[in-house]
Amino acid sequence: MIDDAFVIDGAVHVVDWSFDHLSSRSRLHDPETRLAELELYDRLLGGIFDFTELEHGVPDAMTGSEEANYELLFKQSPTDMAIVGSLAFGPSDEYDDPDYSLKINHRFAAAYPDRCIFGGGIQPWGQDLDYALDKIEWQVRELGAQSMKFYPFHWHADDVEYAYPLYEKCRSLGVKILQFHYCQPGDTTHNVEMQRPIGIQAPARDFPEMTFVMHHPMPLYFEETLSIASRFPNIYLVCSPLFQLSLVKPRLTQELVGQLLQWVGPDRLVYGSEGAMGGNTTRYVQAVMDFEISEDLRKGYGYPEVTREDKEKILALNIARVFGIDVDAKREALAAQPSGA
Amino acid sequence: MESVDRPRLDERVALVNRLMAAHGGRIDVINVSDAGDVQVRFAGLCGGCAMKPLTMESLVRPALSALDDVATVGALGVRISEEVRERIALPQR
Repeated sequence: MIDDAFVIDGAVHVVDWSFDHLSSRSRLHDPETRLAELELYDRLLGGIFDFTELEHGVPDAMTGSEEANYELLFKQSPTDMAIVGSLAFGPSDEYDDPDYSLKINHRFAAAYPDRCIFGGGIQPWGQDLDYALDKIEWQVRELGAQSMKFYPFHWHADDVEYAYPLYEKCRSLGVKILQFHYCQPGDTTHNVEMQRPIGIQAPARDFPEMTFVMHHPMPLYFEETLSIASRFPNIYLVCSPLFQLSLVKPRLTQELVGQLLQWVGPDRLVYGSEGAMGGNTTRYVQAVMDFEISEDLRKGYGYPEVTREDKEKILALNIARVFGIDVDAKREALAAQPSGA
Repeated sequence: MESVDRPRLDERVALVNRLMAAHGGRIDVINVSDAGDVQVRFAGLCGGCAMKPLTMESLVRPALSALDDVATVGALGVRISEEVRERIALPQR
C-alpha cells in the first residue's frame, strides 16, 4: 500500500533470476559468467541478494527465483497484488522451451496465489489457427489463466476469420478479459500501422459481455485511443508506461493523463509497472501518487484536478473490478499475514 | 585497435538481454569506438517502447558502464536531457 491506498500492478512480467532450466547453449553454465550475472543483479536490485558468501555458487536467496521476484514486487515496493503474465517468445540462447517466459510467470503466480493473478498471452501470427486455439486452451485449463493478452502484430484484432475464433475460444473457457498490446511497435520487423488500435472497436462491439483491456495509451495513435476508450464502456486502459513517462516527460504526461481523465474518466484507467526487469517499482507507484496536473493546463485546457479518489481507482479499484477482487477483504487478509510476508 | 575487450562486452550484453527477453526485447551493439564509447540500439519489442529512457538508465547504462574499459554508453533513439537523466538514473550503491 502507499499512503493507505491499495496497489494492484496491472502489468507485471517477472524475470527468471535463477540459473535453472538453461539450455545447453547458455553461457551461464560458466562459473565466471554466472558470477558476472550475479554481480549485475546485485548492482541493479539494490542488494536483494547476499553476495558476502558467494564463491562461484548461488547464494540462498537466489535458489528460488519466485522468492526473489516476491521480494522485489511486494516487499521492496508498496505493491499489494499483481496481474502477472507474459508471452511465448520462442526459444532463445538461454532457454530451449519456447513457452519459458509464460511458465516463469505462471510459476510465480501459482507460488503466491493470494497476491497474483496469472494472465496468459498469445501471438498467433505465423502459426495456424489450431495452434493458437490449443495454446489458449492449455493456458486456461492447465495454467489457470484468467485473461488472455494478444499482440496484434501482422494481424488485426477485428479479423473475423482469424481473430474472432480466438475470442470465442476464450469465452467458451470462461475467460472474459481480453488484453491487447497497442501503440508500441517493436523494431524494424514491424510497420507502425500494425499498432493502430482501430481494430479493437469491432470486437468490443460484437462481444459486449467481454472486457477489453488496451495496454500502452501512448502518443502514437493517442487521439484514436482516446476516442475509442471514451465511447466503448467495455474498454479499459492499462496506463503503462504512461506514469513511468512522467519521470522523463512530466509536462507531456500531464497533457495525456488530463485528456484521459477528461474524456474517458477515472473509472477505466489502470496502473501497470511492466516490472520487474528494471528492479524496484516503487518510484512508478509513487509517480501515480504524486501526480498532479499544472494549474495552467487545468485553466488552459480544462483538464481536471487529479483527486485522491482518482488515484485509488487507477492504482487498484478499477482493475480489481475487472478481475473480481474484493479489495477490502484482500487488505484485511494481507494485513493478517505474518509480518515480512 | 579497440580499447574495449569485445568478448567481455558481448557477454555483458548477452546478460542484459537475458533480462530484456522478459519483454521480448534486447539491445544490439552497433558501434564501439577506440576510446571506449559504446553505442547500442534497442531491438525486438523494445524498439518502439516509450520506456527506453528508463530501461537505459536503470539497466543498460549501469550494466555496460560497470566494465572498466567502457568509457560511455549511448543508445540510438534515446537522447534525453542531462537533468532528466540524473533524475531517473539508478541510485548509486
